[in-house]
Amino acid sequence: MTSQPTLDPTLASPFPRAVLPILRDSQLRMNVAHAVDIIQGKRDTLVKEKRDWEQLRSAAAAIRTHVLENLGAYLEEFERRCIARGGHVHWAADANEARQIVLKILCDEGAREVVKIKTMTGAEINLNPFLAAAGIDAFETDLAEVILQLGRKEPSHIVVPALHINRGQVRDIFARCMNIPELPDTPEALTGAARAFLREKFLNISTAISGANFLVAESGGVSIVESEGNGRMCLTLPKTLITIAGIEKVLPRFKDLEVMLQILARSATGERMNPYTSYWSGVTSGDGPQRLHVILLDNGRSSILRRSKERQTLRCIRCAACMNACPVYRQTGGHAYGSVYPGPIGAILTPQLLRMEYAQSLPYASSLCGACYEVCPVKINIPEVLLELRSVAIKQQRRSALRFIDPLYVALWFAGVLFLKPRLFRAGQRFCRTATKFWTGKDGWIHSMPLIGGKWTITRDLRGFPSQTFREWWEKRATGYTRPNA
Amino acid sequence: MVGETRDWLHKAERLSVRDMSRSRILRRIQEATDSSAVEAAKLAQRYEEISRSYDRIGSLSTNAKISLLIDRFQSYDVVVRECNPSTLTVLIREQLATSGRRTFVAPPVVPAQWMIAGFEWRVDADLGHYEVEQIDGVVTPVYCAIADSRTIVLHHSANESGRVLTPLPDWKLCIVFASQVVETLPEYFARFELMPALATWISGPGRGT
Repeated sequence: MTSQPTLDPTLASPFPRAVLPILRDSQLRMNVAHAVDIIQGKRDTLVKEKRDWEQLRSAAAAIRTHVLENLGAYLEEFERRCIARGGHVHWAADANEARQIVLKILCDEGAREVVKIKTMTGAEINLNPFLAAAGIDAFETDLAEVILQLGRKEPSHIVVPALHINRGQVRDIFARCMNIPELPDTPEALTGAARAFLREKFLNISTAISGANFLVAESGGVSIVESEGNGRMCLTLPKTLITIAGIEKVLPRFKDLEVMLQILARSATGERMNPYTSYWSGVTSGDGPQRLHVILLDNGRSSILRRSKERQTLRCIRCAACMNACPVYRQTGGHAYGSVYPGPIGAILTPQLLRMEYAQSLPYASSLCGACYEVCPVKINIPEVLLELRSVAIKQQRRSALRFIDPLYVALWFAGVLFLKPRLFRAGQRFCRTATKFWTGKDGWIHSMPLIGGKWTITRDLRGFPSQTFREWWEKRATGYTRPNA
Repeated sequence: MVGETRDWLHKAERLSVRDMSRSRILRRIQEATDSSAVEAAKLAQRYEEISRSYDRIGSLSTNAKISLLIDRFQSYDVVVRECNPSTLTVLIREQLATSGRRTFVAPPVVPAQWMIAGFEWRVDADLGHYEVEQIDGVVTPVYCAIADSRTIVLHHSANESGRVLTPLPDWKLCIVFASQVVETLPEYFARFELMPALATWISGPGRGT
């Protein structure tokens, strides 16, 4: 059994260490690979069917890029329109401000219980533990989130958060927590049990918390896609709705949804459209919540905006296609990333949201194969950002005094000196030839080396140094050679 | 008096916290994007420059569109019946009868003859949660239907059912006129000048007619 992983990037172990217990958990890896294969297969079929897929991708990337270039203007427009239609708009510079705003609204409402639609921003600001500490019960309503909440487990994917848990395990959690020992493990029985458990909550709790898939500047509207119907219950039955949205979520016009909804559904779950998409702008009398709050969450996003190569990270629409395609994620699942955002997008988003102060190992959790870039519906060049972040992480390390006890750093620093001085370089070549002679095999290859050299030879062979360098060969050959036309 | 003052102070403090965060975030964005207060016209022009070469309009004939929609619905266990305007009422009666349900709800503005006698009817206006719970089925016209993605679109105007009635109850009879069927999502977005205040796009599993 693995111990409970932490998704708080400020506490999580570096990726290479966090991944070790997971690599030994064959059940978890099987569950992840199985689930990811299914989604990936559906996605590929539907993308192939779509003749204008590349054009849609280009338009989506262009719209998102345009938004980020003019983010301030669109946010202000969103705020103006939302307020004009009866909504309240709040601005939260960081996670703590967002949590305090939520708490303030709940206190004003006198709410002791809230229902929640799956929200990544909610997870990002660690909302549930905070509300629990404040004495407010928050009930998740998305089936997968119910499983995680009841089973006290952590999510491992942004679209299908419980994909690492199989049906038998779900049955056990429900049977235990809902007190139904005879519960069968058929999908119908499990969803039925969850529905019965939730229905009473929906009908009695008058405050809901949601995230947002898109904000529409032109109308002050919000859109949410979902697969189960729980979302529409939360969006229509309660009297008060609090929506926590990242500042990058805004789209210029309502019509832009014609691009976004097409690419999102295909990329996220392999469907032509998400099963249920809701859209509302402000308060409509007689239909749905009469008090609407939208919290615009910065929490590190504006600092990502500042850097030109990394800015594309904010185009993300959270479809998770990159993690389904990632050969690393397929092996590890989401927990090793130590963040609510796992996979390739998490590897670039998490350290940046924390201003590169934590999670610096994540940009290395990739083979740079580019599968994520290929499937990304908004064309985020994730490998490019990964490399950029690696260089930032390296620069940070260079500033640390501890670097002089790192053998790799010292070796590379020494190599740097060597390569700059021809005479030293030649001496180095001669030295290495003599020094490695002992380990060089008859076939001219070095199969194993001691100490730091072993880090290389543990997985691959090293070509032995030749008995003659090019320069030496050239000097010998040049005697008696006359240049033509001389 | 004192209480009032304190209340006022409290409010002012809250306001200023909000304004501080707001201006801090907007300032950071402005510094990052280097786009100091773009004029609306300039912004609109930049927006128009976004290239959109994806398919706007489908290629199917009206009949082909409708059969695609029916195919896609049926592949998802949705029961589909076709009829003429003249036989619509008969078909509604038949569907209500075969559902084995008793209490139905309809939007405030629907043709009176749709509300077939012999069943109990509620009007979809200000229904409480528990009233909604008592309802067995919904009968509603729709705003439009998108064939490619088998999507039913509701704008929840007075002649369509409200949002609460999309997840509840679990039986729905949606009446789609042939003229309301479009092939692609962009065709739907080209259908209106004025944006709806509310919209629900339903493309997922659902037992209904």
